[in-house]
Amino acid sequence: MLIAIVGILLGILLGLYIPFEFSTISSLYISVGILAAIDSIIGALRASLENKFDGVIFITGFFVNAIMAILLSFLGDKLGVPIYYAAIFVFGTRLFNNIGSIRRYTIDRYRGK
Amino acid sequence: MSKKQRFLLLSVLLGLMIALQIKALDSGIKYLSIKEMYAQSIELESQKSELVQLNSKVEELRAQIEAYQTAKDDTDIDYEGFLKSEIELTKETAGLTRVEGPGVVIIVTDGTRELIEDEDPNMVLVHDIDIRAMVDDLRNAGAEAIAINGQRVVFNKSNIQCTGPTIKINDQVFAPPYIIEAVGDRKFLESAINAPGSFSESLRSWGVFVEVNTSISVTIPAYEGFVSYEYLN
Repeated sequence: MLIAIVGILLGILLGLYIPFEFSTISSLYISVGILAAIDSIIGALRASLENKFDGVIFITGFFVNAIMAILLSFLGDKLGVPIYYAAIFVFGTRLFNNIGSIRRYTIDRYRGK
Repeated sequence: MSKKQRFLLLSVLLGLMIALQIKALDSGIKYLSIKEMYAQSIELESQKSELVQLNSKVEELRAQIEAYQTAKDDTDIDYEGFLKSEIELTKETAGLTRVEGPGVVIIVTDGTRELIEDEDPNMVLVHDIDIRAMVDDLRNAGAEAIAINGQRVVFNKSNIQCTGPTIKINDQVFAPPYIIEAVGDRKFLESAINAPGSFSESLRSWGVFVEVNTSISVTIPAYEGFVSYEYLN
């Protein structure tokens, strides 16, 4: 948990200082990708709490989910179907489910002590 | 690579993306479509021209204040002449003097075409509303003085009113043809009547006769009615 927070903060600091920017047009797709990445991180946290963590699944999930979300949103835009709603809905739901599980595990662990 | 290292790496990547996204959305640059850009540029132009106008107005008022000041301070200047010129100017603005200048002469009269069966003859007759719309078109095109059949049209006093087959202008009744004279930019005034989309264009399509002639010198008579107010304090 702590590692994830430290890593994200480190990444934000790094991102603010490197001279690179996404264009505003692509920012919608990037935001969907970010949502997928957050979902992966939270999912990995949950898996590690359940002792089911698998590094390969985590890394492939992170990249494939993010890239697929971006590609599908892009395709949806071209076809006039707002597919990014689907991505937001799916990842959002999973995000809250995972956060709920993490909370329950953490509480259980404290009570168990 | 241990589990923690992987975790850290991907978290850093996520943080990086978030930061870049924040930067992209906060950069203060907004993407506009061509249409929006065009609208914005028109807005900008109109604001600029308004600024220029206001500035010149400021200059004008300053000069006027200066003139009043010198008139007050300087005993050599004759107040009478100063005030008289002021009165002249006011009268001219109010339409109480005869003016002359380049402009247009418009002839409007009832149409002579054959009516289609069951057609309302009102279609080809000139109405007060037609005259009023044409006067408005002329004013929008920058007409400085307008007269209809020798009756000066002034802003706050002239009436153009329907009286059966005739039209009452400044309380005098006229029958067609109506001759509208206007002083102003000849090209603008002519195109205000001839342009597609102008009111006269529709008049013509209904069958009313409208003719425009430009003239180097048009004489507009003074407003002859009374200007007296009952309710203004």
